[in-house]
Amino acid sequence: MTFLSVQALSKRYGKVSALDDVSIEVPAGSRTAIVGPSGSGKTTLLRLIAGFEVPDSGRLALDGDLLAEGRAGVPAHRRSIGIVAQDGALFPHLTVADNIGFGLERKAPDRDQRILALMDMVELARTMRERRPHQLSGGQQQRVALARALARQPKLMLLDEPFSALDAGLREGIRASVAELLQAEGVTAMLVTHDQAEALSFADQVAILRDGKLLQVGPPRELYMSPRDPGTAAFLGDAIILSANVSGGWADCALGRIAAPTACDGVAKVMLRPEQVTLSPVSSDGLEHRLANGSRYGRIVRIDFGGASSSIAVSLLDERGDHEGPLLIKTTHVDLPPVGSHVQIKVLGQAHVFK
Amino acid sequence: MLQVPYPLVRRRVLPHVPVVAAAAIVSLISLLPVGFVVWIAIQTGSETASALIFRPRVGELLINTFLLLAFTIPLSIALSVTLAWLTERTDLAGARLWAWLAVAPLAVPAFVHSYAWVSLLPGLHGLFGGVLVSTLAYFPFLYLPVSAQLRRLDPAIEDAAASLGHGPWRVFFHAVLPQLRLAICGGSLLIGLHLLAEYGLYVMIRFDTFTTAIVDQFQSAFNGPAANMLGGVLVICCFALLGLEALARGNERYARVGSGAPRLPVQQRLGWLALPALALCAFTALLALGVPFVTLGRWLILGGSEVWRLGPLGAAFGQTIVYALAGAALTTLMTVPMAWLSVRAPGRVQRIMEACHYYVGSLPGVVVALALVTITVRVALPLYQTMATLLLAYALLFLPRSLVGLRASIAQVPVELEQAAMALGRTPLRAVLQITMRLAAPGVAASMALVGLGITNELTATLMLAPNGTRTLATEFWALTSEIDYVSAAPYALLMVLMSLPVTLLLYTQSKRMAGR
Repeated sequence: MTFLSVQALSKRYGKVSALDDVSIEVPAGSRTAIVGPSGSGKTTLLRLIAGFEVPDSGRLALDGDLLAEGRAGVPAHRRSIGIVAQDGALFPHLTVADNIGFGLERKAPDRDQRILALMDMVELARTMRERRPHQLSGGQQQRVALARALARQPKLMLLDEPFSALDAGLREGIRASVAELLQAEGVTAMLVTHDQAEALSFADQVAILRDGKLLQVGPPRELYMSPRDPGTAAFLGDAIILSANVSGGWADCALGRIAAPTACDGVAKVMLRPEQVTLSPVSSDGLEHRLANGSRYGRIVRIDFGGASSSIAVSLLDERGDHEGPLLIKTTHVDLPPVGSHVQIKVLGQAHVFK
Repeated sequence: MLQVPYPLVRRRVLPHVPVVAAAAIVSLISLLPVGFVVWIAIQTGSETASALIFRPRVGELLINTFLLLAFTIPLSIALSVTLAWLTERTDLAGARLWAWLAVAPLAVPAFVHSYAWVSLLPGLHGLFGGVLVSTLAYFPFLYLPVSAQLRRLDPAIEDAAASLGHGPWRVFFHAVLPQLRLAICGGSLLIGLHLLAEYGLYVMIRFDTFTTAIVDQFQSAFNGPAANMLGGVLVICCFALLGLEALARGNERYARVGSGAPRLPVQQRLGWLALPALALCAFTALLALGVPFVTLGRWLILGGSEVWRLGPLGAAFGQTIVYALAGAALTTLMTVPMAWLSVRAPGRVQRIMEACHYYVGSLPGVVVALALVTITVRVALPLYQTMATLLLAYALLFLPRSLVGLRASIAQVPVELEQAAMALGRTPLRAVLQITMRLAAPGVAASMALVGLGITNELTATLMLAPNGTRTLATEFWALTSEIDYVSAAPYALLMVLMSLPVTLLLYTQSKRMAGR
């Protein structure tokens, strides 16, 4: 069932259109990620939902309540929407406990207990409650910001790039624990980020924004494997885009005959993710003979060592032994074959055909 | 089955309407003095007006004003730039001490400077006296921005000029001095406006300016058209200065090009110049600080314990504090809407209103006072010579001081904090009060202190507008020196200096912090 409904939302700043006719439905208890390059309008969307900005047109509804219709709207402080900003936006003059309790009734009898419970919930040591924000690490600050937003039991939690200021090592751990916590509390969440890997791993539903327009919405796996166009494909991760002859559910391309479930036939662009391609070293004897058999081979022309994952440039060999443009393949192999050696190329799974 | 939880509030294209309205009201009030001048010019009629304006007396005053500006400003520039360069960029012994001594003259009100000089050299008068005392009293207004700018200057520019084959003098005049242009223009404007506005200094040194002439007219003929017309000419002089400064400032780029933090500047070795440099610093300090303090000390010793009549002294002190606090509070209240708007919602309308806030502070106290006297007498007689009118005059005079400080401190509070408070259920007004104003409080307190200092040392508007029987430190000091009772005036001067010292120290540290140190 739709919990947050965004209908045809538009916002202009002068002549610049920040958000153009964006509609999206968010189910209750789900996590949605809005991903897009900087300047794509994702933060504008978040600010419109939070009530910090007024849309030019469109409609916003949360849990059956109308929040905004055109320029008329419920003010931010009455929306019961929590927000965690990029740098936490903690109040520097208040202690951790006072920050968390900022949204609680000042005279509530169980105020202190609730603050402690919230600290436990976000895994902050209780001993930190008298500290000031500047005495905390970035990760701890984000935990306080989350606890502060959770204190008011919001219907919807907005996360505005909350992990981008954290160290790379810390980021994944906090992201996972936040996702877990939101799930456990049953809070519907919306994350804005420019980091596609973060969006894909955090959310049940990912929406891609570019130039203020919504390009595609769907579950992460579906978006990753079946993007709408080559641009979206490249934005979500490395992609190998090839021209192919498609017929009867198969695509014939430089990498051979690959399963491609589609109804349409003819010449089309197909996409593979580099992790679908495996390379295995072979000796160069009798390659011509084996090429004729339909197997695919290539020669390694460059290796960019990148630690955990390296990228290998492979130029394809066809029946005449000619080279085609090199493919960039990501690999996590420990033993990298030397440059100049030959490899056999195999493709796992299906190719995605762009319409 | 959509339901509306709260009535949807239709929001306007121009947001923050109540704040804009408040700022607009203050802007309109700040237009009163100029509106008054225009209105008086129309009322008087062109014939009477031109008879009052085009006469030898006005020409005399114009020449006096021109000469005063033409001598004092270049002299102050030369002195401040030299001192700033010596204290910031050379291995001068005791540079920190000299830097502080170059700012300290600000703690001595201008009319106390002239009181010191006149009692030291009773024959001192006219243009020479005016230029000497004005330079000593006001050069820190140039020293502060110039030294701050020198500290911030990227030494790479000098290195580049040197590597292109320029000698040290050429480097200074071709690479460093142009970079100081903004600071020099700003400081000169401030000094120029003070020269136009100052009353007490020039009365004591017997040098006639527009301001002294207007107060004379006002005291003899109360509210005659003659005083008002002189006021009009004075306003035109102020605008001419503002225009001149805008022209001189130009609109070139002065920010550092390129990224990364600049290196620390290298200190020049003075060599054989060290001794003359020390002598210059010591001589300046002797004239600008030694003379006032020695004279004050001499009068205090001569007077002994008798001059410390605690009754009147305490009363004047108390009244000064009350005026300073009330005036600073009113000024701050009046500038909060504009300061908030100019940070959070800048726009064309906002910029125009901001300009109104700024221009009124460049008007001399005597013009603001004339305007308020005329308006209260003709329109709102019950307000004539009341504390309310005087406080309004203070507020108008010190709007820019307050606005600059408030705006800087509000700008340091990220808007995200305000929004976080709203997302946590605070109304916009409460979010601003609980978060933004709370975090801006130290800066607000500092700017209130600056306004309070201005009020403590304000003489002209206080003399013209204060209710009968008002005795502040400044007016009491003035009354006693007018009777040539220099001995009894000394304790009042000392109190004003002591009250000004902490704020001067604040200015000094602020300019250091501005440079990031």
